[in-house]
Amino acid sequence: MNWVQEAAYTRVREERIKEAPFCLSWGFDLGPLTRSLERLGLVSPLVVRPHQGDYQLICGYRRLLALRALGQAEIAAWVLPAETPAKDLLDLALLENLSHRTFNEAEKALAVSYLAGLHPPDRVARHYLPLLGLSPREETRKRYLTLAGLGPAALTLLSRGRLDPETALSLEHLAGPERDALLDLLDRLGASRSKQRQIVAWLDEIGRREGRSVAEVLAEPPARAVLDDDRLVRAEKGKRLRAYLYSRRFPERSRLEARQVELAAGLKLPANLRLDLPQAFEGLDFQVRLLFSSRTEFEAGLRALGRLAGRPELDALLDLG
Amino acid sequence: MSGDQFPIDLVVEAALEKTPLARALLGRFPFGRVVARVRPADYAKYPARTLVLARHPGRFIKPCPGTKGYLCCGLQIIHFGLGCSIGCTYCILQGYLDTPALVVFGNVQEGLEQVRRRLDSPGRGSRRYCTGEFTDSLLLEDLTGWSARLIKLFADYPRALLELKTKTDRVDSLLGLNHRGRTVVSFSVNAPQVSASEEGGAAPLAERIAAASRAVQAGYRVGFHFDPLIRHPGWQEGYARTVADLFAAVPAERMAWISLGAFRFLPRLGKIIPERHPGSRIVYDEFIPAPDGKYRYLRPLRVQMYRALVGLIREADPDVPVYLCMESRRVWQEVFGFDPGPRGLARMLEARV
Repeated sequence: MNWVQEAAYTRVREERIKEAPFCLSWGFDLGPLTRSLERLGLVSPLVVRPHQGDYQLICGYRRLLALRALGQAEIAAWVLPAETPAKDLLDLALLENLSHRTFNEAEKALAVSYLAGLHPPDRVARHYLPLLGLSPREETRKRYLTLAGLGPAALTLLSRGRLDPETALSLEHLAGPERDALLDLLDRLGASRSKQRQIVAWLDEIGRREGRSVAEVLAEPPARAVLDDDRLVRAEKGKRLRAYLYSRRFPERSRLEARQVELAAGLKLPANLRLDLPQAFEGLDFQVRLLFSSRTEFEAGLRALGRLAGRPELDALLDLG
Repeated sequence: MSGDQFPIDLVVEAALEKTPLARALLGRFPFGRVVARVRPADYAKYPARTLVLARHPGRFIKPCPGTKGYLCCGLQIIHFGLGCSIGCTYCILQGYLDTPALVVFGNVQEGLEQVRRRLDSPGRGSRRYCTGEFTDSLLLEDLTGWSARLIKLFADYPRALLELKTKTDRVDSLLGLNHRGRTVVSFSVNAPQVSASEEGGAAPLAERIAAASRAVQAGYRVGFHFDPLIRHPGWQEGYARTVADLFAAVPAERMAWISLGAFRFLPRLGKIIPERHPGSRIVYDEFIPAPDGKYRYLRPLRVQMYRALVGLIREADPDVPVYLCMESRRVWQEVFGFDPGPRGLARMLEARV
């Protein structure tokens, strides 16, 4: 049945719109819409349904907020029949929203969580995920369901593109307050997606290895000193925190890398001679590159190479592997 | 060995239904069923605790694949089944196989014939063969008898050697066999703490060592594989205790070899372990992505462990052959003061045949 054709156009008192069971908006700026409504009025009426003597909002959540902010007491609305089934209401809300905008990650997660309450997993995956621009796979359905369950702080950051979804998923096992504290930290650091992943992965792995909470690791004096240093700009703070966490996560490797850098610097190579050190200390090949544009530079480079062979730092570097 | 590691259901491929093994198994599993065909692609669809008796369509003998840049001992693998229900947290099969069931190849005669043909004309390849690469050699021995048949076959070949590898103590059915010294029964061993926390339903360490002792009394040589060596608090003391227990239970001259291999894993396994074994912390140590694509302990950490173990073993007996499994020449050099070269390790072990 096409319930929209059964809808009646009317004006409803805004205070009688009591709830929005399928709100699909999260993390938005009401400013432009408010200005438009102020100047032009409501072009597209809300869609509501009678419910327990009042109304449920089906479409027009942002418009309702903006009109309330403008102090509008009566609002134009299409009123659907009270018996309209929940599945049809959700379809209507989804299609109406998708017809004029794309969803952010938080909104996709909300949509999937509503759908999961009304449809079997297979139908959500195969029929609805493509509407949201997602691959029709069960794994994707589960990912977005998990995101929806992470709470308002995570949804807000996701909606603003300030939280990497993969990182968000890795926070699932944390208790709410600890997760929110970590989200706040990631937001304050303004780290890129890959750096967010590093920070969270290292914190998590240190915590699991040592049986400590994320909060306990972040409360360690060196971490605190970085986070509490108001002289540091955001990027520098993030960089230093990552350096500290890396050294905690990989203490021996950090020590070897620092030693490697120190020894390489001790070689005092001329600018046209570059020593590429092997990665991972597995005893792989070193590489030397000699840059030259004249015979003189070439010969000078060879002499520098000859001197390099006699340096104890080179032996120490080779020992490190 | 805990009872929940054993299959409770049986699926037999129809082509094998009349074989003695299938008949024996169908007699033991009251709800066992015969299905028209079991292709390798079907293995994954059978649930855990199901024994799938399937016809192996391919070759039963494969060389150990080795790994790029690391020295391989050059074993030939006799492939008689797939999967293991012992449930070790670190089990490498978790990263390779999507098969919760236990698959045993039921075309036993065909497999034995392939092995016999190879032993009759060995060419220049390795004379050392093993089972236990894709499954535990003895986990299902009481049901299948595969190892017993191989032991009897190898008994006829004085220039070849079979190595069985197990984390069980299920050797008793092998003790009365006429093996003629052509089989080494090997046990995967570890530090007590690792054994207790990471090796699921494996036989307790003491029972494995007791089984090794029984095998020796039955005339077998035994091998021990400290693989994977896992760093953990008190690892030096833990491994020292296991080494001491081994030498207390088994005369050194009956040890064919002891191998050492530090924990290593494919990136995929690094994700699987925390998911399947959330209590395990083994992937949170210091690993580096090695040139072969696996994560390995940082080299100095591996060398430290190997040196400690080699020292303990040499102290117990200076002559027992000790080798490193899948290690770099550089590590060999640092641990033993020499590196055996690309074929040298295989040659060293061939000398023990």
